[in-house]
Amino acid sequence: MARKAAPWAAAGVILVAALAVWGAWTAQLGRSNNLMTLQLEAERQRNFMELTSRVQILQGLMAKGLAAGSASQNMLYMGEVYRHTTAAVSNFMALPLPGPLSASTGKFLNQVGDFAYSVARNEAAGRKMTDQQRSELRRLQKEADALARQMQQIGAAAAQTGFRWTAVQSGGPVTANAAGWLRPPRGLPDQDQDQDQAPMNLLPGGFEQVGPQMDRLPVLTYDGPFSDHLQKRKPAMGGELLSEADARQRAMSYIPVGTAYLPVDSVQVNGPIPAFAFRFAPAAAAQGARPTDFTLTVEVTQAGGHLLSLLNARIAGNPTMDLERAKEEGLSYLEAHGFAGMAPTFGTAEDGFATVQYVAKHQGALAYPDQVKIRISLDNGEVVGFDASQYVMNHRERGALAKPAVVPTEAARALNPDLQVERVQMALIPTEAGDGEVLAYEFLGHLEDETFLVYVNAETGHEERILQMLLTEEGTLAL
Amino acid sequence: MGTRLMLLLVVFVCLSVTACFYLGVESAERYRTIALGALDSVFGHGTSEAVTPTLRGLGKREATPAKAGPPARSSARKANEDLLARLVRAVAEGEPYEGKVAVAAVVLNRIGDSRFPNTLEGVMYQPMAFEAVHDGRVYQAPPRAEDTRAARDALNGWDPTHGAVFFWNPEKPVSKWIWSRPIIKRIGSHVFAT
Repeated sequence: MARKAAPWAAAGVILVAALAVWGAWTAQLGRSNNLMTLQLEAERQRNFMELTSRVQILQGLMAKGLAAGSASQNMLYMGEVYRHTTAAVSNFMALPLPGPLSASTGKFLNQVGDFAYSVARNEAAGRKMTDQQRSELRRLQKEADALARQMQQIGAAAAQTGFRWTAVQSGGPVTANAAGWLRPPRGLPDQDQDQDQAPMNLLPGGFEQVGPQMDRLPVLTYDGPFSDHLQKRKPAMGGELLSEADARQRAMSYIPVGTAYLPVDSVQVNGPIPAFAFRFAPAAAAQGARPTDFTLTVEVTQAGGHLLSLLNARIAGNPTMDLERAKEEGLSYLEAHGFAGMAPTFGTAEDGFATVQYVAKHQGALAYPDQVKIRISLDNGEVVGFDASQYVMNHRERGALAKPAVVPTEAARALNPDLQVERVQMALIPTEAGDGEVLAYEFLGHLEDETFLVYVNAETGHEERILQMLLTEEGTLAL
Repeated sequence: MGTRLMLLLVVFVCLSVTACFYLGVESAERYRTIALGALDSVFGHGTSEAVTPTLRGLGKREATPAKAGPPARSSARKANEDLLARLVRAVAEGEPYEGKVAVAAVVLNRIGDSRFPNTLEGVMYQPMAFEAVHDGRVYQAPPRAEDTRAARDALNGWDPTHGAVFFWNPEKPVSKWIWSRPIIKRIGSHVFAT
């Protein structure tokens, strides 16, 4: 009897041992998974709560700014508002929310901060808040207040229903077992639902109202990069509308002489500057070209056939020239293709290419909005990159420049007395929003070990902008 | 005979369930990297001031401010480059070079767009923004030379998309909201919209 039972007993023991090991292992996996889910949940909760408190704080700061009696006081509050909105945006964008909701609410918060900053910037340059700015600020403050209240309500409702952010991200409900462990959801999100988007119905109640409300806000226009009016800018350079065939001819005329290219593809570009994009492959490879064989793309504007951009993907060979020589090559390309009177400003040379910025000269002043960026290959001086989107957007006949109200010596008084000025030059610089221009004196100076470009407004004598010039082995950069 | 069969069956079931959990380990690992990536929001040194209008006005576009002194290729910038290049590799494999630069440019365009986070890391790690990030593909394969070149070009301001902040493959299922965005251009198998 015992002999018959022995093999069975052995099998039984092995089985029990195997089950024990397996049980322990899966329990360990479950624990580890749960730990990570909890960590992630904590992070999301923190972001949501910080967001709520920050929106509440910033609407209060805006109210104080409106109540302030002087521009200098108001400036402080506007600066604080900017700081808080930046942090609030960062919190908000860390939450798993559907695209439309995060885009419209993020835009509102960013615009509030940017608007406050533009008010502070104007006050720093001596321009007090106008009535229009004041009423905009008041309107924005009320919206921010409403948003703060909504977020608080959402937070309270979410706490009551035991909402978990980690559920939203995985597309299914998260359940907790009796011991309080979160069980991560199983399965994939429904195929019909938006890819990469949180289903709205999983968010705490109240969120579905926030998005549409943000969308209904009126257009906000001010001097800052997030202003709504910038979406509507039209290019300054125009001309006759070209057909695709004519545009292709024009594009081919812009290809630097050298390798023979054949056109293989063309698409329309419906960006801020309507254009055609033509793709070329080296003649040898053009037959049966696959997408990765396209090495050259040339874009010309629909109106006027101006060269908008050029991108050649070829790799650089051994360099045979330096940055200075490359700058000259770029200049001769510009002259040959209808961009007259340009001067090189900043440039770097690295990885076998030189990238140089050229700016139009207008009556001795450097017109920075009319700029072109060119990449020149250092092996043979060929232009392999060209970007004239700024130039096409801004370049126009400006007529005679107004005589500046402030002479250079007066302007120099606005500078830091420790700054050692090396040279002065007139310049037209873009405003913060990018769609206006200011005539300024460009002072190149040194302070301790560092080099700066300081722009002083030629009308008011106030400092407008400061850039730091980095002189590196590869060239100069301005930041 | 019957008991032996039952024993074999039990062993088989245990082994197959274990196999499932073993595969689960791999996804748990991925979850850990994603979770850590999301928790550790400081991967580089991005600040919202970095993308200043001044910079845009002068044609240069940095995702990070280079501090005084160090060369243009600071370590912060290298980290950004690496991150971007990984995304380019994961998303734009087999695309023409223009398409690779375009993908990187979309990420950088988002930094300067009011509807998106204001830092490179914020944009890259925004929950569910890029499938390649939240399913872990960006951590798997290191970028190749062409991907790094494309990322570098985008960081130097080359933007074949003229300001696009969305891109998708029109052959794949995408939300109706994304399709409502105005399309600027098609490059390879992606369309780019604002």
